[in-house]
Amino acid sequence: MPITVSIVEDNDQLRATLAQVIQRAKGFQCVSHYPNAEAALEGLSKDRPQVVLMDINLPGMNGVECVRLLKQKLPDTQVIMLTVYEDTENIFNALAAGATGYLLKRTSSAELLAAIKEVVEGGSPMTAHIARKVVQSFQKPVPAPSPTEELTPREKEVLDYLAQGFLYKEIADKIGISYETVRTHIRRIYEKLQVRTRTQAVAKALGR
Amino acid sequence: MRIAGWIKAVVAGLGLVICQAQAQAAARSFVHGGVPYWVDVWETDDGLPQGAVLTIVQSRDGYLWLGTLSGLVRFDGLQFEVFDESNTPGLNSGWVVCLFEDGEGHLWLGTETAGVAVIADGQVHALPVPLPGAERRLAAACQDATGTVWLYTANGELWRCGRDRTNSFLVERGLPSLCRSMIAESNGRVWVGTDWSLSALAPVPDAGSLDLPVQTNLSVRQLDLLLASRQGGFWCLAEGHILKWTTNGLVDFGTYPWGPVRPSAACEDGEGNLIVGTLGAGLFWFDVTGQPTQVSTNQGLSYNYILSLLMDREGNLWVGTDGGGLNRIKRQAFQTLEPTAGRVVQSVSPHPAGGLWIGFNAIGPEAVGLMYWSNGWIQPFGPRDGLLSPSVRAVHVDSAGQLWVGAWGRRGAGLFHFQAGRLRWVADPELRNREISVIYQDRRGELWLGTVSGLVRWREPHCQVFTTRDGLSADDVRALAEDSQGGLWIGTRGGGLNYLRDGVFTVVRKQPDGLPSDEIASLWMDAEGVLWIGTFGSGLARWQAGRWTRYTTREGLADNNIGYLLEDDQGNLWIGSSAGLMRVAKADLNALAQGQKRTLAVRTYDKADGLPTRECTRGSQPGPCRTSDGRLWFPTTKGLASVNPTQLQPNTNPPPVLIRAVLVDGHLQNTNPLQTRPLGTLIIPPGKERLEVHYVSLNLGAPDRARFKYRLEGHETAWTEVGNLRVARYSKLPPGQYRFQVTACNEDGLWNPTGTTLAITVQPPVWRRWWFLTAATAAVLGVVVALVHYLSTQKLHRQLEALRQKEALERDRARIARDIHDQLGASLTQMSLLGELIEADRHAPDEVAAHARQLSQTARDTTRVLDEIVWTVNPANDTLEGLVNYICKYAQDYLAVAGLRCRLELPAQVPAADIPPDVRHNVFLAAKEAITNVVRHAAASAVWVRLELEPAAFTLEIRDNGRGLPSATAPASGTRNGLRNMQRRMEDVGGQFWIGPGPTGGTAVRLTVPLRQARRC
Repeated sequence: MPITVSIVEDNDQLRATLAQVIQRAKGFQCVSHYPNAEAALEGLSKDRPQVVLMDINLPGMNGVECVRLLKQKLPDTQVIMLTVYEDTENIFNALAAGATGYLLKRTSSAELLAAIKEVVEGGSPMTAHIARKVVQSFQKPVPAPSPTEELTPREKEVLDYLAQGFLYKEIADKIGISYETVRTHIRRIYEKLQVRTRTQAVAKALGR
Repeated sequence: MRIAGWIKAVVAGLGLVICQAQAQAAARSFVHGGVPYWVDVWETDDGLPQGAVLTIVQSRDGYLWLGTLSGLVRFDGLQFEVFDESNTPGLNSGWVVCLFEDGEGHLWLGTETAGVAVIADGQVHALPVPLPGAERRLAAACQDATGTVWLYTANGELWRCGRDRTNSFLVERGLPSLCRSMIAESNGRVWVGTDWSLSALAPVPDAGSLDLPVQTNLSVRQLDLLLASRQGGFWCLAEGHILKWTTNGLVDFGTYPWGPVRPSAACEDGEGNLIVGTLGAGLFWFDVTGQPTQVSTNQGLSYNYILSLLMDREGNLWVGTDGGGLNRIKRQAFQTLEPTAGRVVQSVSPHPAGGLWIGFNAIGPEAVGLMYWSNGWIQPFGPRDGLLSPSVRAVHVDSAGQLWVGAWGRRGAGLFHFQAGRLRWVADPELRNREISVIYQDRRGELWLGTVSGLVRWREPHCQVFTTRDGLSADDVRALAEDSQGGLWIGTRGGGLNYLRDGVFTVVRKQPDGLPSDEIASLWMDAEGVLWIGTFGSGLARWQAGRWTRYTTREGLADNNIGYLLEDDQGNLWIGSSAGLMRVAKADLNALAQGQKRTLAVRTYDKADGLPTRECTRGSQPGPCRTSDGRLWFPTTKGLASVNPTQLQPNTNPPPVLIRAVLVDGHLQNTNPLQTRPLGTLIIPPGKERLEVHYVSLNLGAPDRARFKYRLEGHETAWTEVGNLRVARYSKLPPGQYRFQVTACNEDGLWNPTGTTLAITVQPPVWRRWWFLTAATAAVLGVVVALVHYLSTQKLHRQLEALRQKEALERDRARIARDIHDQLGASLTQMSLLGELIEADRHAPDEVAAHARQLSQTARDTTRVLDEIVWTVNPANDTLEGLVNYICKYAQDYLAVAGLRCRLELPAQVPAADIPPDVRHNVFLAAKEAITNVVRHAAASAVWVRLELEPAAFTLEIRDNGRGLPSATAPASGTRNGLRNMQRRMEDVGGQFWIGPGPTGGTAVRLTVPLRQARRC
């Protein structure tokens, strides 16, 4: 079964090229592509792709908001954000909204396909500066945190190593767990971040 | 009597049930002394902390204070505030069993086990005596002629609390007594009672004596209660008799009417009549003749076990029960005729015999459409009595005593004539199935019928119909009124007014400054020849000799949907509407018509006054009526209400107004909620924005109908009328002196003339105070001299500074241009060349592949370079966080490619400090240089990037585990160049550059940069 991918990108040429790259690669199938978030939200619930490549800066509704709504509809779909620059704030917001990773648009096609594959296999790429933002987010107080929203000691350890610049493999060696387990931890950290970000947003909206 | 005669005939002949109407409404209301009363109940669900109310007093400021075993409770008629040991400093217990307000307004409070406390000026003072303990709990308190307060405990200790000393006496101590009663007569004489004795105290000559100075000692058997009378003397409930002691001697009012239950509380009503509460039989209210009215759960009381009674200053009777909460017994203006309760009453007409014919707008085949009511007896009429349609719209007894009934309905509409106990459907084909809304008899005795399909003149057996064909403006006739010249005014739906005289119709339609609407609901021609016109939706109109006046909600009416109109003997016009029954003095209406007034004083009655609903019915004539006893009867959609206008007592108590809380920027200013006296002066320091003043009115009978107005003197001159809103809000008051005034009116529109005030001072900010201004003026004078001198040189400085800024900007722009040209330009040139090569080598696939790879690699590199340029230019990155993130990211990417480990040592939180673009650019380039040097020269396997924070600077350290610095004498020239570059860049941004051996070998580069202002911390 090929990995089904959908693309949301407003630049027509880039969108066509990306679709072509994915369609041609063995083991990948581009099921649909959309020029904006509104059309994507409507179409994707029918397409049900495994992975969505989503531009962060979309006209109208931006990519971050689109991810948030999309994840409510399709919780199992993995979203990878596409961005031109390392825009920490936007990338972090997208991750908090439910994206699983991000790619720079200048990434080579081989790296792109590898990233899609990794995400489908349960990986969650996280860089040191994103890890730092995640740590900060967990230090912000939320009203009545439930245990499920708090990080376990092991997850904290993984996150701290990441923030210090350690690679996944190095972390695995350092604390004596497998590479796969590191990836699992990181995906769980993302999930908790999403829950927590929602709680913070709700608390903020309620003016607590 | 004729009526009595036919009733008997009906009873005998048809065997119909005649039921006796219950004299009193089943729930929550009763009649005492000819006046209807209504019972309201507050229980724990309404905010009362406990269902047992042990004691009630009304303090002089108007609040009601309740003693419960769950705290002292203050009640403003709407909200309960609870004070207990958890929220009131000084209060040792929330079990309040006895309350007493003395002449100075201090509240004495007896607790169950924690002794006695006094609340004065918001402070609670615990008394040293009587000692705490349940057996010494306070049973009674009073104040004698000298102002001394006496306390009487349950175990018989009598304490005299003088101004300077307190001493105690013992009354029958050791002998248990159920009754421990003590009162002060209005002349100040104190009586102390136990089960078997009653003693009057003599003035205490010597405060040191331990002997109780008894003046009179009366032997009684089984004393239950004492109550001082406001008219002098006192009430004494003893030996099963109600007795009253006065200076003239003893009056016996007979035996207890409540049987064997025990009396537990007593008070007097406004006329000095006794009210006694019992344990089990409710309360007994005696009228002037000495006859008691029992009020118990049958009359709507929540519970029959009564612990406390109080008649407040407005005449509401407050009843504290043993578990059923608090009850308020309030005088009502209106009574609902019980058999009509819940039914839509359309029309009512008095019978000369004294009874009342009532027409209902009912539905259903068996429904009762008509009733005859006489002195508690009712007789219903329905289809079986010949009334074919229950939808009765008009009931009229003519001058000959004949009853005519007009009905609507799909079947059986038309006119009915009451004859021999049955309703006869008038057979005239012109009348049958014509829906009749109005029955009216003119002075000549002629009957006019207003129907939905024309006007009918009915003189049995002749019938003449007028419709639009005859000149009528619309066929749906809803109101008729005759003037003194014999002309007939006809109100229609949709066609305005018609005037019929000598067989000619004159039409009056809606006009600006004329008739306000073509939808006429009712007409009333008064004795002065003024025609009053009620309209559907456009208010009331007045017509007098061609002059029109309009009255709407803008003039003070409760609603513009007017139903019926009725004039009483007191000169008032009663106006039925969907939003209540209004009473307006005709003098007021006339004054407005003459331009002497702009608004009306309208009293609107609704459920709170005893009406079954505020919605009066519409579309019928006759609507309301007046009976020969002077009572007025008003049809509503839930029953027939009546009022005796001579019994209407406007509430003459102006409502006390108090400021309850003052908030500045959301913070409570008077933190002592027990303090009800007005605050002195509120001082608002500079920089505060929002002021909120919460106030209450203490008209306990109808607190929700109080209306408020306020103004802030110094800020506004006009009063703001705010209805029932209990808070005033101001924001951003400029510095100055203000006086906040608020006052309220009661349900009858009586305003408290003074209200209450609060002085407010908004302090100016420091730079507007007088001392500051003085000092500043002096300083300014001095400075000016210096300034003039300085300015001449300063101008030069400014020019220089501007030049410098311009230069910096130009430098920046030049740098960006150079970067774009050097880096992007070169790459793009290379890419276009590669493209050409691909085309040229298109026949050599290996070459093409190599060129294509190179092309995409170059393009990606270009994007990265572009990324860097954009990052440098984008002002969003002008933060320390942005800089550090970028450097770390760069280091990680670059070192990963070079195969070196990269470790980051960053504090968890990077302060939000601004980094100007030139600093950012230089620091980044210096760091980049240092990282490049590590890869090129250090032969290291790991690099540490570390950020150190100091209050006013940060240091970025880049250190490796390589071979360390070569000897200082012979560094490679390239490296030396690089070091000089870094040195210069750091000097350009006012920072420091340091290079040396690392702490654990290798090399360390330290870039220290001063931080400027922080945006936020």
